[in-house]
Amino acid sequence: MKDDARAAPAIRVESVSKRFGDVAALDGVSFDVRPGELFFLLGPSGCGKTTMLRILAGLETPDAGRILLNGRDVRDMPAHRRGAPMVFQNYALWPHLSVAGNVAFGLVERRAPRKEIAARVREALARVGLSGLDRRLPGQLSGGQQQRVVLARALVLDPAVMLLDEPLSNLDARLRAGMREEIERLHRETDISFVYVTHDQSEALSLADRVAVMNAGRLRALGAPADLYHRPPNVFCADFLGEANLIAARVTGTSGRFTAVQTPWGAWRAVLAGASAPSAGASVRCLVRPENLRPAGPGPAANRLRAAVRSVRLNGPTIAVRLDADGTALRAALLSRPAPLPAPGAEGEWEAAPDDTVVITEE
Amino acid sequence: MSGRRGSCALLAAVLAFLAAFLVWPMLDVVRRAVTDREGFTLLYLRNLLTEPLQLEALGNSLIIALCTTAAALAVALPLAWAVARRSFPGRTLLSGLLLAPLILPPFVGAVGMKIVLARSGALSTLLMRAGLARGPVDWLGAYPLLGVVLMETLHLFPIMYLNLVAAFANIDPSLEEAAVNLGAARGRVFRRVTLPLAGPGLFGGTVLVFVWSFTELGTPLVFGFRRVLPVMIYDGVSEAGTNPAGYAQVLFVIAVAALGFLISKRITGRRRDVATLGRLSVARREPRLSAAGLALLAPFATLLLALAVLPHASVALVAVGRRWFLTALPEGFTLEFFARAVGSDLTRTALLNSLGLALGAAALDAALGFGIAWLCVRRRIAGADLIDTLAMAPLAIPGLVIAFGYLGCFAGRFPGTLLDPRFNPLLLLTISYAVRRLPYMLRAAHAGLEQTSRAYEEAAANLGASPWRVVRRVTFPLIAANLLAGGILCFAFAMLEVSDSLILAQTEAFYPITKAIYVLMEGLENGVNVAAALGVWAMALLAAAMLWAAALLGKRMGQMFRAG
Repeated sequence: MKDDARAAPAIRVESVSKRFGDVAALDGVSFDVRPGELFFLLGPSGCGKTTMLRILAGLETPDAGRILLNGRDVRDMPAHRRGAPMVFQNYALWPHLSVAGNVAFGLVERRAPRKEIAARVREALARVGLSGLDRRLPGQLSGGQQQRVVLARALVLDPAVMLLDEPLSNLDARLRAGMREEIERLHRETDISFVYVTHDQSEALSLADRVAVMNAGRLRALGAPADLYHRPPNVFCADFLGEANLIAARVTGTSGRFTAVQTPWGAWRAVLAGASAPSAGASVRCLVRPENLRPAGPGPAANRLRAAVRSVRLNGPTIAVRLDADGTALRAALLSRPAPLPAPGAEGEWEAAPDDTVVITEE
Repeated sequence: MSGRRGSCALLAAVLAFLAAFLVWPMLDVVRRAVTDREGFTLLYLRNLLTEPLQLEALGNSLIIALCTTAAALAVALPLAWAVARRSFPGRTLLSGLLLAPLILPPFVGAVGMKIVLARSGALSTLLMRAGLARGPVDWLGAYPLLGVVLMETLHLFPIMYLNLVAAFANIDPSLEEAAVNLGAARGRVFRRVTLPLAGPGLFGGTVLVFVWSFTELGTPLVFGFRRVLPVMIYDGVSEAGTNPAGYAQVLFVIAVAALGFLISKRITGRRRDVATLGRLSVARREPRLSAAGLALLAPFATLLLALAVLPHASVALVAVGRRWFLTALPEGFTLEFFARAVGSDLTRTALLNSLGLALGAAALDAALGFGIAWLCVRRRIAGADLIDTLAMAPLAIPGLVIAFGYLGCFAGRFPGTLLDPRFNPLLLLTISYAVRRLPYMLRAAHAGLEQTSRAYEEAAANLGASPWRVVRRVTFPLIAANLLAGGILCFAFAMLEVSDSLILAQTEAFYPITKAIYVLMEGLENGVNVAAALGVWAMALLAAAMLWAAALLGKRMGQMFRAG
C-alpha cells in the first residue's frame, strides 16, 4: 500500500489560505498525503508549516480552501472529532496525569472499556520502549522519555493520520539521532500516514517519502527527497535543501539531452529541473552542489572553470573548500583522504559533470 | 467551533449576573441621588457640600484617608525598598510577618483598642503610673481621628507594602546601572530612576489604601466616632427608602473611588510596557544592607510589628480578661467569654450564618471567576473584556456602596422575597460578599490560566475531548490549586466583611459574625468581652485560611492585593 499513488489520499488540502492580521500565513496551499506515507512539511520558521498542521488538526480554521480527511470535508468537524492525533512540539504532557493517564486520555474520551484501555496503554508503552514507567508523572521523565510518551499517546488511538510538530527540536543532538530512527521504525510498523513538520532539511531528506517545501505561506516544491535535492525546481529550494553554488548563465540552445548555457567561464551543458525548457536567450542559474565540484581530471570534457582556493577546512568526512572564480565565491566539498589538502592560494581548473549541473529558471 | 455556543451562553449568564448585582444597583444609587418627589435635583449633592454637619463628616473622612495613606506610605516605602532591593538576615521572615496585620480587620482590633485607649484603660493607667500624665485621659474622646488613622494605618500598610515591593522588584537593574554609569549618585538614582519607575505600583497602592480608608465603616463605628461619611451613610440606612441624602453621600463615595482608580489605571497603563520589562536583562543580585541600614531597619520593623500586633493582643486580652479597669493588664483571666462566644443563641447563629454565607460566596466566586477568566484568557470572545473590567470594578467600589445599593434597589422592588434584605438577607449577603471579592478570585484564576500552556488543552481536544470535557479533564484540574486559594481568600474575607453585613442584616436570626460582634459590643453585661472572644475565634479562622491559601499560592500570594 505504501507507495500506491493511485489510492484515495489520506489527506487532501485544496487551496487553503489563512491570514493572521496583515500576515498571510498560508496562501493557496494544495497537496495530497497518500495513505501510509511519511509526508514532510519543510520550511524556515514562519513559513506557515505549523499553521498548516494546526489547520489539519482543527486547532485553527482556514480562511479559504478545503480539507478532506479520508475523503470527508472537515470544515465543520471540531478538533476533537478529527481523529488526527498530534505530537506537540513542547510535548503538552498533562502534568496532573501519570504516564498511563496521559496515554489513556484519548481512549477514555472514546469510552473504551477499562480493561481494553489498560491493555492498549501497556502495549503502546511497550512499543515506544517505556514499559514499567506507567505510574510516573511526566515531570519525573527525561526529555527523550517524555517524547516517547507523546508518541505513545497518539499511537494508542491507532489513527489513520498522525501529525508531528517538530518532534525532535527539544532533544539534544545525540537523542535526536536515536529518536529519528525510532520514528522511522514506528512508521514502518504501522499503516499510519505521518505528516511531519520540521525546519531541518536533513531530517526531511533522510526520513521522508515525500517533502512539501514551504516558504512565506506558499508551497514551493513537492516531491521525493532525492528529486528535490538533486533537481530543485527553484532557487529557494536549491538553497534551502542544502548548500548550493548558483551560477548566473544564459541559455543558448540544446545539446543532445542537455541544455546548452553560456557561463562566465565558457559554454556549459546542464540538465533541466522542470519540465518546460527555457527559450534560447533566457537568463537562468546553474546549480552545482559543492560535493559535485571537484578538481579537473583527465576524463571526458565536463563543465570547467578556473578558480583560486581561498580557504580549506577539514569537517571530518569531508573537506570544505572555498573558491574564488573571477570574483564569484564558490564552495566545494571533497571526500577526506589522507592526502595533502589543497593549499590556499593555489589556482587551478575545477569541473562539474553536466548531469550534476542543473538549470534553474525560477527564483 | 462547537464550543462557541456554550461560550456565548456563559458570557450572557455572567453579564446578566453582573448587570443585576453590580451595574443596576450602582445606577440606581446615582439615579436616586439626583431625584426626589419633584424629579431631577442637585439639592442633595449641594447639601453635602454646604450643610455643616455633612461637610464636617466629609472633611473628617478625607483627613482620615489622607493621613492613613501618607502614614502607610511612610511606613511601607523603606520596608519595601529594603526587602526588594537589599539582602539582610531575616528578610524572608520579615516579608512574611509584614502581611500579618491583614489578617485582622481593624473593626475587630478596634474592639480591643477601645478598651486600651479608654479613660480607664491600660494606656492611661500606664502613663499615670509612669508619672507622665496627671489624670486619666480619654484618648479616643480627645483624639478620635488619631485613633482611627492609627488603626487603619496598621491594617492597611501591608497593601501598600505589597504594591511597592512588586514595583521595586520589577525594575530592570540595568536601568539603574545605566544611571550610575552616566554619573548619578546613589540617592539621585533612587529619586530620578527608581522612584519614577516604581510610580505605577506606588500610585496603585496609594489609591487602594486611600479608597479603603475613605470608606472604612467598622473602625469609626466601634470607636464611636460618628462624624465621618461612612458612619453617616450607615445611620441613614433606616430611611434609605425615602431620603435621597444617603444616596447623595454614596454617590460622592463612588465618585472619589472611581476617580482614584481611573487616574491609577491611566498611569499604570501608559507606563507599564516601557518601564517594567518582562524579562530582566541582568540577573539581579541584591547587595547586602549596610550596617547602618540594618541598625535603622531592625528597631523600626520591630516597633512597627509590635504596634501592629497590639490590636490583636488587646482583643485577645479583652476576650480572656476579667475586669480590666484602671490596670495595665486585666486583674484575672477566664475562658468564660470564649464559652459564651459559642454558647449563646446569638453567637452560634451568627457563626453558622457566617460559615454558610462565606462558603456560598466562595463557591459563587469560584464559578464566576473561573468562567470569566476562561472566557477572557482562552476564548477571547467579544464582550470578554467588558466583563473583565466589570468584574474587577468592585476593587474600586466599597462594600458600603454595594450594600446601600442593594438595599435601595431590591428592598422596595421585591418586598417579601429573597431579594428583600429586610425579609431575608442571606441571598443578597452571599451575592454582595461574592461580588466584593470577585476580583481576587478572578486574579487567581487568570494567573492559573495564563501559567498553564494552551497546548495542554489543544492536546486534549486533539485526542478527542469535546470542549466541555477539555475543561473538566484538563483545564480545571490544572488550575484547581489557584481556584482553591482564591476561594479560601474569598471565604476568609466574607467571614469578616463589615459594611455589607452591618447594613444588610437587620434581624437577629440572620446576623453574621461581624454584626453580632457589633451588637454585642453595644450590649450590656460583658458584651465587649464576648464580642472580643468572638473576634478571636474569627481571627484564628482567618489566619488559618490565609496560611492555607499562602501555602497553595506560594510567592503569588502577594499578587492578590496589588492594584494593577
